[in-house]
Amino acid sequence: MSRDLPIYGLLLPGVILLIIFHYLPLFGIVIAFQDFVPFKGVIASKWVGFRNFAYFLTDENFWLVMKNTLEINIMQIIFGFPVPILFALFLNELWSNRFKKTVQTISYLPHFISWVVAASIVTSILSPSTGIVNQFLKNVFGIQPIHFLAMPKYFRPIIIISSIWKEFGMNAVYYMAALSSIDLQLYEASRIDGAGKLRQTWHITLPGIKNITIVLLVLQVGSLVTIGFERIFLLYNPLVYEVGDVISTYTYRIGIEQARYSLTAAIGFTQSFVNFILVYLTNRLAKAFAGWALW
Amino acid sequence: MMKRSLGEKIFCVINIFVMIFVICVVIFPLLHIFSVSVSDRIAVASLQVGIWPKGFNFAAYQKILSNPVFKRSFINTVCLTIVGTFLSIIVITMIAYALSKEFFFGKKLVTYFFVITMYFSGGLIPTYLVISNYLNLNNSYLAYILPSLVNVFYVIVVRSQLETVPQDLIDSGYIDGANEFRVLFNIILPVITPTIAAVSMFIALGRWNMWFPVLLYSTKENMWTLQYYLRNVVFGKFLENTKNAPQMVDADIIPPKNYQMASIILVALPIVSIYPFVQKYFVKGILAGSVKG
Repeated sequence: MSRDLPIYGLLLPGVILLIIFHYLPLFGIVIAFQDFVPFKGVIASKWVGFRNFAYFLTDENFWLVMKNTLEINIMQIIFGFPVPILFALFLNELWSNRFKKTVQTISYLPHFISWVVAASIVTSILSPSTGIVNQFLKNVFGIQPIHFLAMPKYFRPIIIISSIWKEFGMNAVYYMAALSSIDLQLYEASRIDGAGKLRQTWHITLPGIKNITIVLLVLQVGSLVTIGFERIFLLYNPLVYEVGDVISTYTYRIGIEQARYSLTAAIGFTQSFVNFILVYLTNRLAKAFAGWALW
Repeated sequence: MMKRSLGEKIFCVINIFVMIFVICVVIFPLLHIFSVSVSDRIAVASLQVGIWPKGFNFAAYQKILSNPVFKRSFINTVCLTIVGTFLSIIVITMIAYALSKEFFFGKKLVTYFFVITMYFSGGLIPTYLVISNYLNLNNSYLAYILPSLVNVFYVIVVRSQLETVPQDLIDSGYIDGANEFRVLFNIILPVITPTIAAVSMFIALGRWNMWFPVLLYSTKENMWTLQYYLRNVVFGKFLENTKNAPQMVDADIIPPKNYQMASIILVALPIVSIYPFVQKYFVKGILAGSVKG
């Protein structure tokens, strides 16, 4: 064992950091079962069993944010998921490798931009008084300025389109890698057999990206109750809460701003629990369909 | 060279147009923001600026670059990115190296200890309470750096790379009398530099774009980061504060819009100018991560 001492020395800083910043909060979840008061601490605060859970499960606000979270994520999958696939398919058909490389590099750009910058751009170009979009609508179609970010019917499309804009290029990387590993002889052979472009795409290209598509889709389904906090938090406002408020932003408001710690911890605990079950189930599914799993 | 049919040629032309459209969609929003930020105030005020700048006016940039809050935010961000990334890499590599050892007492237990953190976390509120109430790290840079220092996903990436280092190389270090730390930093690290570089890029990008901990743990302007500064310029009350408000510069009024757009450009610029040179690391990293973490 003394032989192993240097190894423990290497592990020590990481272990200490994780105990303090990960395991302590993890055990701190017990406050979900308490009426936690910060100055009393975890030991002296009153235990209330499942009262916090019963409270939010009967609260219509919770079900609203749950519904919003699920609906935005499902819309994100329906509209956002095919974009990188289509982009990769088109990109793959380009004849010039240099042009291909250039387009791909440009498509990565938004991934490197932070959500604060992306949300700032969205806010600026959609501004009712000075934004270029309203300017365009007015000059070309004579439409009066629309306050896009204050209108519930536009909020979700804005969130989803800006998410697609930001990540389609990086997400296409997976498909490009799968496409480049398809044996070119397959195309050659099918050509000799007289298959046209469309039939080649259907019988060779699409099967080639089938596995990675299933895996990525399954991963997205696995995170249905989790949603990117930043994009919503930066772009939403009370006028669009009814369609835009999600679990993470709701948790932030009642937890940090209203300091209802126990209630928020109970919501967080439930979310992690549902999340874990979803990840577990989808992981099984991935294994069954694609022979691939996270663990 | 194989012959291409007429249909393929038509498709190719359409495809090129599709790609040009994609490029425009990606670049136009940024180009528009840039053009407004450098156009002269009359063109901006009368909403004439589209994709290209009209006239030139760098007053907004001068004003921002001389703003003490911006300068401080910039310095904070640079320092936090460098220090945070450096410390992360050291701690992550140390863990990865230890876990790549074939055997040590308690290896299985320790591995579980790390992997569990990837699947379970306390969530926002318990973490906030630990940092803010128990450790009292409010208004401390430690609250920005320490909580996210260890990322177990990167530990696993580095470990799987370490397992490819030949044992002979490691043994030669021991024979020369080096201890574990020297073996790791002098012999093994140089061999896995590409992986370390890729992981550093991911960590550095995350650090550079960090702002949420600022919102949670700091109340002072001198602890802002660039992203948090921008959030306050565009979404907050930063410009309503008379001290920061756009004012007369050379008898030229800067419209708040110029100021906002110039802020966006200044915050985005460092990353946008670096990314073409580092993007290949990201692509490799993403693919390495997807081939079983």
